[in-house]
Amino acid sequence: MASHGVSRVEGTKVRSAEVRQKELEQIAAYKELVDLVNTKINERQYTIEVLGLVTKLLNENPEYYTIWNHRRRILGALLDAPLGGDHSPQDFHGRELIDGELSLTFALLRKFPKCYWIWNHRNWILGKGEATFDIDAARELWSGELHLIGKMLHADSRNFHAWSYRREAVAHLERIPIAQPPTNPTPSCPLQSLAESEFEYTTKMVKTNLSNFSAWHNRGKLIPRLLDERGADDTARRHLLDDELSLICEAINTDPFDQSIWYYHQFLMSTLSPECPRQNRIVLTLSNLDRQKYYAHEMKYIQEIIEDESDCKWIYESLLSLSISYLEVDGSTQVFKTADMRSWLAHLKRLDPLRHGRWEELGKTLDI
Amino acid sequence: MDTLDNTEWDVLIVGTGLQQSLLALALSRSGKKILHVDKNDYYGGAEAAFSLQEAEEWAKQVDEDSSIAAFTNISISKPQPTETDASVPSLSFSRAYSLALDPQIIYARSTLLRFLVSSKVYRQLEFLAVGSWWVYSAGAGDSGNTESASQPGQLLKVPNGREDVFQDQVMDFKTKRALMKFLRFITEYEEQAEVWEQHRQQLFTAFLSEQFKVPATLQAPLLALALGTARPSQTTTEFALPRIARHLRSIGVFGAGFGSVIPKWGGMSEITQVACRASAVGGGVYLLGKGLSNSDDDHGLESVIKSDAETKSRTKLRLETGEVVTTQWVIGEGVQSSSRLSKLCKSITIVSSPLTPLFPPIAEEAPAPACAVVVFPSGSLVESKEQMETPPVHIFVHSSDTGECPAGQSILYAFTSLEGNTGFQLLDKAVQTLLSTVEVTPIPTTLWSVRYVQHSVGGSGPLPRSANDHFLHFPPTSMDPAFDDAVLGNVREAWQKIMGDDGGEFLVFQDREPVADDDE
Repeated sequence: MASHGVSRVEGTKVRSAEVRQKELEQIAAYKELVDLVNTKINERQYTIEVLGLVTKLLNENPEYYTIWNHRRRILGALLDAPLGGDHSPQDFHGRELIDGELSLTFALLRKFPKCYWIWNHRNWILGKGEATFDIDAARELWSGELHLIGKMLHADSRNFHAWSYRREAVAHLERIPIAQPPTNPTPSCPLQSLAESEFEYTTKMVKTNLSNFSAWHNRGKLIPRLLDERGADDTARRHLLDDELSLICEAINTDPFDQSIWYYHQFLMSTLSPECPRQNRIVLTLSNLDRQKYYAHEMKYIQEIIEDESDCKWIYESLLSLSISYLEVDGSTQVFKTADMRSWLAHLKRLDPLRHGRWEELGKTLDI
Repeated sequence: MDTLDNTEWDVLIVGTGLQQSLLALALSRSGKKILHVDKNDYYGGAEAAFSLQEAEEWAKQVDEDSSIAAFTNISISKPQPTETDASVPSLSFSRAYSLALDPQIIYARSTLLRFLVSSKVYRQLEFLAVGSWWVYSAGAGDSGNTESASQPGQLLKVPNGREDVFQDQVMDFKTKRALMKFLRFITEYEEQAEVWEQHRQQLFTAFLSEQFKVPATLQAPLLALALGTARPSQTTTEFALPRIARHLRSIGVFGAGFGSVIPKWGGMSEITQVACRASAVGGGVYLLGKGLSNSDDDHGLESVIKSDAETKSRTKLRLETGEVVTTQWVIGEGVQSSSRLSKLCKSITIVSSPLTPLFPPIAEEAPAPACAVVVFPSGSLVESKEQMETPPVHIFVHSSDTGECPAGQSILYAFTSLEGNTGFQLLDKAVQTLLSTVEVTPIPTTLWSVRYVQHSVGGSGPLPRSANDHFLHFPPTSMDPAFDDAVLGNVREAWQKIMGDDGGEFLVFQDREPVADDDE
């Protein structure tokens, strides 16, 4: 299976007898380790030694999610266990454990950047860390996380796990108040929104690689919030929408064959629809006339591209979709004719024969 | 050893240019007795690098001996500084400079790099990234039209791919579409033979406009990526397509945003030195300042002698010094008929500024670029449109990161295939235009420059012709601005003949001593 053009090493190779023997030994050792760990856990031996065994096992197979659950049992026991009356050695020990977990998951993530269970465990560790330490240390943990995620996205900017996790890290940073200095008795705003910087981050990522679904998606999610935080009035909102449309149309013009760009365009169009829920809207005061103008403008722009790229299915699909939206707002348009829609549908059938049934159905629904 | 007279060798290599040095490297583990000579008293032949003083000696020396010279018409100029402004760099001492006669760029997928790794000499070399490519666009405001506002010329960055095209502010929508269509085609042009096969011989510019509707304004940047020295009217589709494809496919191989590298410390000379050093470690004997005798009557007492023990043919050759050596194989550069020679007018200019605007960062966490490529397309430097079509001028700008000049200065390596004095004038114009267009204050000045004509012969004098099949001749250097992998093909061929079946793998060696690998 290839991921973003990076193929995984395939398993089936011709193996010599020695290699096969060695593998059998490795399998036996692994099974032994699994049995040992499971036994210890059953006996509730939540000790450092068993933690070591679990580490060994997870290094070989981080996908074995039950073992991660076991690990958390052990860690929970170690972190919560009272070490006698004095509090501080416990904190230090706790910090060491937490840092150890962060190192382990970091090392594993470099080899398996898409394994859900590693990310999950790291998330749990950070939560545990936050519960255990003070506010500054907690913020530091999550800032460190954001930094790590930045590096992972630099290595593979389309890793959607990393993007999803980024949203979580950002949400945590936004939730934890910034520790105020003792001299400031009335903090004006201890909470910090990262929407602006995150928005800029998505700009940077799409400029580096236009095909970044996750970056566009994140951008889309940020925009309504961004506008609310800026206290944007109607003019500012329309301005932002126009800027976004300009940006994405520039991208479409550069590469009409890229699906992620069209998806974002579709998203922007969806915010125009009267059915769009309030929290996803960009402009709040659209009239039907406004909508018509937007649809018509987009259709005109996209049609120009056909001059040079007449075999791009996304173009026709988009034109059809826009025309349908337009018709929902104004059934009696002069901007395009039924014949046009029929022609676009015909192109779609030609360029995307695998979905013939779908296009047929669409044609019947639209009655064209 | 005191004298070479009457010594016996397996291989005599004449000249320490790139091809000969790579051959010496290839033979360095073979156990053969190798004598490697060069009539110059420096390594590198036509690929050498010079300090200022060495350049001055080179200029004098070669002028005296111009019959079969690789370099002619050499002249150095050192402008007198008008004011002593302490903040502006002045010419530094001689050894602060390492001026490369061969500042070729090496594309990422070049087999050269692979062989430097497999032969283990890569550890002694450092490579730096070639960053932005620029095309000069002459401003509006001809002498004929006094009404239009005179616009200064500008340097436009050549797009490396889709995202560069996306961010470009200058091209209009339709132009971007045309360019993108071409870029999509070129990344897999071999599989779309029907688009270009029948147009192989067609001029590339015509191919672009007919098949891709690429407007005239975009032809120059695309031609620039082909990195050819010929006039557009002599540049075919067949020539340009693979070269542009190579350029675009190389980007990202070593890191985001760049596709080629240059060796540190003076172009290909560093590679010749490292190769010769490896050969010396393997037992090769090196003698500089000694070439073959070239007196016609006895250049070599070329007698073929059969030794008693084996029937290997051996040749006797006389060196310039009168010493006579015997060797089984002789290899050097071949003599070329003058009709096959090509020439380039070249100049090297030391500039009083780091020319920072030419070296914007390549990409996040990419290495800092040490070389910028500036192309002056055909016609961009001439005033009148009635002049004949001129070839382009290329300038490779090297920053002080290359070690070729002190910090605060940079080196311009300019070349063009336009011949004669007009060629030199065109180079000057290009250099002056570049310095006045780059947005640097104060306007950079020239501290020192040399101009010369390079001919496509090697830098160590040709081997005499011979019917003896143990005389091997390397073909002339191609003077391609980008390293041509065919060079390695030539070296391999020669190595094959010398080694027969006993050679093992070409340029694949183990480390002589265990080396702690820092990368692991």
